[in-house]
Amino acid sequence: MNHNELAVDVDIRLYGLDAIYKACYHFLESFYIRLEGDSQGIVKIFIRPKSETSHHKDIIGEIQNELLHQSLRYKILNETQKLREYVITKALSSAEGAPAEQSGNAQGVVGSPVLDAELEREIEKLLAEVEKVDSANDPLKIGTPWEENHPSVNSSVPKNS
Amino acid sequence: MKIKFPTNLYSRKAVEAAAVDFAEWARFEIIEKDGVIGVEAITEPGMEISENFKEEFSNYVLGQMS
Repeated sequence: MNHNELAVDVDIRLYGLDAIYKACYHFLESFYIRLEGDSQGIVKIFIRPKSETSHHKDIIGEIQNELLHQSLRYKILNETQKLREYVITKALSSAEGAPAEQSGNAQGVVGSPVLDAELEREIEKLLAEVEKVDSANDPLKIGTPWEENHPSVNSSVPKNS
Repeated sequence: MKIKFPTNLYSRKAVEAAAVDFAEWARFEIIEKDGVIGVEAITEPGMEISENFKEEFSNYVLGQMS
């Protein structure tokens, strides 16, 4: 271990290697970081401040917090992957004008991941509600183009000769 | 200047990407052997690099992993 260098032991089985990389990335600007250890067991994160102004005392706690944060992000990412793929596939299919298949089973869109039937019905319901928004339900006129809301401003703008 | 990266934690692809981006300051020779990616940074005669070059390069490789 080098002078002024701190070490943090991280169990791969608890956090995952990807979470370690993401957590380290967060501190690369202010600290020099290197990794050693067993990618199946314990990884040591060696960290050294780039300058004396870096907050050295709290860095271990900050790294541990960031490891938890990144680990949770990956967990959520994995758990919602099928749902996100389904929503995106559905949105793209709707945008292209392709008719959605009637879901007699859990797969409502061609090529989309298989989802729980109840979840799929819930998503269909939410998408239908979004599509129903019109001017009556849009008091702030968010869905209206800007030029329609401000016709007088457009007419006063001088045109380039 | 020699830098070592264990292959169980660093990828050759990340090291090569860093070598490309640092080409302005040095030429790099990369050899992978016995579970270690060895990198030798060779600078032009008369060209000095900072003492933190090794650590900055290592940081950059780590950044490529995420």
